[in-house]
Amino acid sequence: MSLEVAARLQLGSLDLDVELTAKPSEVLAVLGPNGAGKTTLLRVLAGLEPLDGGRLVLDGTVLDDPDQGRFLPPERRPVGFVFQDYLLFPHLTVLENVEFGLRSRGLPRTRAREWLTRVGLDDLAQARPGALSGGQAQRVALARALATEPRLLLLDEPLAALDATSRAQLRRELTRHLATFSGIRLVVTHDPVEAAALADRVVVLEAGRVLQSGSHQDITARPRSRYVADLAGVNLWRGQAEDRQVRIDGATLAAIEAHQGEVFVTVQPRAVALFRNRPDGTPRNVWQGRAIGVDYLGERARVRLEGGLPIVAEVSRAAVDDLGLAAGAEVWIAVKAAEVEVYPA
Amino acid sequence: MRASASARPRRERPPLGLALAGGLGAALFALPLLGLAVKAPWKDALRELGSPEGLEALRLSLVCSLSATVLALLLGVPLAWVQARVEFPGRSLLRALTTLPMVLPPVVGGVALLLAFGREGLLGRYLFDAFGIRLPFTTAGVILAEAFVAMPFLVITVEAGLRSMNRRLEEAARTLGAGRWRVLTRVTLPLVAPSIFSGALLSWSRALGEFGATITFAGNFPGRTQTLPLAVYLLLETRPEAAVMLSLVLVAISLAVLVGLRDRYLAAR
Repeated sequence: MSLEVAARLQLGSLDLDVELTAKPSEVLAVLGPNGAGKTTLLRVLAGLEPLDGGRLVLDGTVLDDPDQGRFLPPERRPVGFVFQDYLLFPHLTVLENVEFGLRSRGLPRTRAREWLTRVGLDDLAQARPGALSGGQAQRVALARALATEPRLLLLDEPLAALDATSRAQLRRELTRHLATFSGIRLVVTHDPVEAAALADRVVVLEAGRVLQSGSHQDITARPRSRYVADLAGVNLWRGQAEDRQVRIDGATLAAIEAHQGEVFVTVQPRAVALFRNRPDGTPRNVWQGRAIGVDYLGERARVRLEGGLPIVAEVSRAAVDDLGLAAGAEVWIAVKAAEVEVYPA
Repeated sequence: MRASASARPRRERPPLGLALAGGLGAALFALPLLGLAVKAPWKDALRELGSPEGLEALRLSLVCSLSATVLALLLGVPLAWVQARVEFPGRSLLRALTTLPMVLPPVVGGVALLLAFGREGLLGRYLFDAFGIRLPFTTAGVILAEAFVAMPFLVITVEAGLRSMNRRLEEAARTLGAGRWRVLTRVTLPLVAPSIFSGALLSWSRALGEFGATITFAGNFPGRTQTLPLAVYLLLETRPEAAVMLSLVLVAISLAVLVGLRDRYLAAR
């Protein structure tokens, strides 16, 4: 069982152009900012949006191929969809909601009960969706989608509508249910924690394009966009490398490894040191800047600095007070060349 | 010192001007009904109610208005669906056309029906020549006239229901394996059922009170086309007290249905 996606679609201001493949029984997280086209990608796979160009193939079955004039309507695709707002049918009971897909596909209805038991909602079988809590509705939506045993399961921000307390519990439950399912799973999320918890592989989608794909560690270790850098909490620039020097917007950083041409450069905020006077020591990169903002995270603080090369430094709360950083003090910024990570763009 | 919290009124009073205007509005509806009730010849009530012409008109009114409602449902729900869901050139024109009978004087509607379905009418000519079907001045004609005037209320209400429902529920049904027909019967129609119900109720009320189009298109034949409103109008000339009693019957039926059904099914929403 595998999924091959080459999806091109123009929808309003969104220009979707995605290529990706999923291996049999892989759990894929699609991570990206709002408006990146994550939900549209799921809708394309479910058949709710026909493609302009490209080709979708699931287990050798063509789902959509505009060039060949082939389009399998949503009701004939072996695809389950868990919507962000669940979309339970308000006029049906919980049990009837789960039975809906089974009846539509001509499968035995007894499975609905089994699924309700499995998600622990057996006693709410006769309740109306309006009477359910967010977490319960989420479980019903999951049971409804899984009951028909789809070969591809799509989950759109499955935990986004829940409060923090139930989210942690539901995440564990969801991980468990997803593990029992044998098909390919695609989870859309904008939460990196969720992506890391639920998925084998993360695909970063931005402005309709796949920017990065790999394990959570791979992606955060080598961000290729502002969005991922912010998620990982590192400083990211794009620049021109010449041996051990990288030019970034007029500034220059010294690195240890030699590179040539277009590169990405990252520096961990905690590797950035700040001084009142010009330091005279080993750091190869020293320049003067000014603090323009401080965000506190417990005893640590993230200081945004401008001048030379804009950078974020992580220091202790005490250091912020000592150097008068909150008041916008002028400081010397130092980064050891060994802390400058360079990789090709 | 008194606790100020206890002095706080539990409910806010409505603004005086608004309450006054609302009261006047209510009086506008209540006074004519009061007139009917006060001036009614209650002594002769039973006799007037049991009069054959009164009963006949009442029976005909119920049969025709209910048939017109069924006709409006059968044609109006699909029409509302087309207007709400299908994009085609001239859609706004069609929409205007289907609501036209609401603003058209019913008499004009009756004339228009005659020109279309009459013996020499656009379609009526062929209906008669080919099938021997004659609509004007028949009970079927009454039903057609009432449906013509009443259906816009159903179409408007159901179309609004279809437009305001969450269409993504239909998409969810598709992803669960339901084809378009199953989505329509199992998701769309049940979800707009309250709109269909209130539209049918409005249509029925309008059909029951229909006068102008009916008398123009179907005439005024007792037992065949003379509905309650027509009987009231005619009796006003000869036996006003009977007219008043029949009017009260009309009011009582309408009120009972509107209070009983409308509030029960619509207020809860």
